[in-house]
Amino acid sequence: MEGRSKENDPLNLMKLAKEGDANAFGRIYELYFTPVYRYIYIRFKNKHEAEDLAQTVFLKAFAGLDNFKDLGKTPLAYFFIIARNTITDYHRKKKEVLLDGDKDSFEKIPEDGDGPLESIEKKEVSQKVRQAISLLASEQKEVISLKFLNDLSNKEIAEILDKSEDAVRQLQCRALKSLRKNFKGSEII
Amino acid sequence: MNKNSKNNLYTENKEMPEEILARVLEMQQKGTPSAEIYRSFPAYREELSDIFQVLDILAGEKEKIIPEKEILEKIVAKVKLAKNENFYNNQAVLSQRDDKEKYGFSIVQWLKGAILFPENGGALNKFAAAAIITLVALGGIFIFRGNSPVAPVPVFSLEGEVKEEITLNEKTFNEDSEELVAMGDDTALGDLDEGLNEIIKDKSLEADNGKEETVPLGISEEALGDILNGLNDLEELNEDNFRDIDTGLGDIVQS
Repeated sequence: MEGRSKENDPLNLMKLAKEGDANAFGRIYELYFTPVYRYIYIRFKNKHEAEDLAQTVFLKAFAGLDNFKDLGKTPLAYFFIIARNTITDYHRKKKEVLLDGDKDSFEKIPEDGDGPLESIEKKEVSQKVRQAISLLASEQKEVISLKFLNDLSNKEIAEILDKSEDAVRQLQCRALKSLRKNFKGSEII
Repeated sequence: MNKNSKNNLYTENKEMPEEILARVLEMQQKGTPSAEIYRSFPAYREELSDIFQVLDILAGEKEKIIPEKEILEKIVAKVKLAKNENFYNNQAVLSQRDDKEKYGFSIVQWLKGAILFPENGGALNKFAAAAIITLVALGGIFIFRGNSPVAPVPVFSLEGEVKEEITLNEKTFNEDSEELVAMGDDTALGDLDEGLNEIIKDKSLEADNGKEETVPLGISEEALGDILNGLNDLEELNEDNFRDIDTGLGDIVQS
């Protein structure tokens, strides 16, 4: 996620967006939409909820653009923090913990052009994977999502979760160990 | 996963410490080949194998979670809408700031905000603004018409009125005096003659027209001549006669 050219530098784009450059904000969308969507998606039962939440996150991000300050943190942290708070609010309002226990409630993963048998097998694996992830503790889920689904560095994750890099490393290891057990329990591996 | 391997997992005491797993992850992130990692930590070969499988599965899942372009377009459209709203709200805020700087009084800013941008305020705000404007307007109408119990009572200068009245009276008096003086220039008898002559003339004309045969007093021209002569005699006699009367009265008092 780091090491971009000047025109694609998220920090520079955020500064331009704050000054009213619509194209700059468009570029930020392109850069961050997928990671934010993945972060949300892995924690929800279905695609529509994830899409609605992603919309909310980006609208909130836009509305709060003036509040973004360059404190040395990656702008991605700004988006993930908004996403994290939005998910928390959503759960609090809905009074339900998504992805917990309800094995059959996961939406089917879209087909990707494989044969019928392969496709069914992949869908089943995907559902099991998401179910196994859902059994993790909340912070472990976040770390798995940020580190392995979004390729964020430990430093970036530390900024988002407001933890030290060592704490993030420890969380990561525990999450992987737990996931290994869950995958084994679900006969994924 | 078979039953034996499951049993091995839970009976295995050589669980990989978190520190080693952290080092494995670092090596993998740097692109170190798996074979080399296995060689570095032979005691945890089985667990390492599972962890690599978990990482592969997660990488596979990542590729499956790709948002549709339509969602992005939908969000961009909504943001554009929000941007326009934000623009107008910012304009309102800037305008209010200008007012505050210009007038230095927040009620002006508040009233302008309440009137021009009622959507920004609450129901109470709008009601308060409407009430103030109505009261001001009604007050203005009553003041203009002078019917309002709260309208200012006009101040009358009694002193001025009296002075004016006195001035007018003085003027009337002076005019009357002038007229009297002017009248005094004519002789009383001369006027009487003229007046009588006019009356006679008018009555003579009426008599000539056959409307009335006699003058109202029934006095003939000769009789009038006698009256005038009599008056002239009175004029000549007045001083002597009054002196005699005074003397006569004095005698009577003495006696």
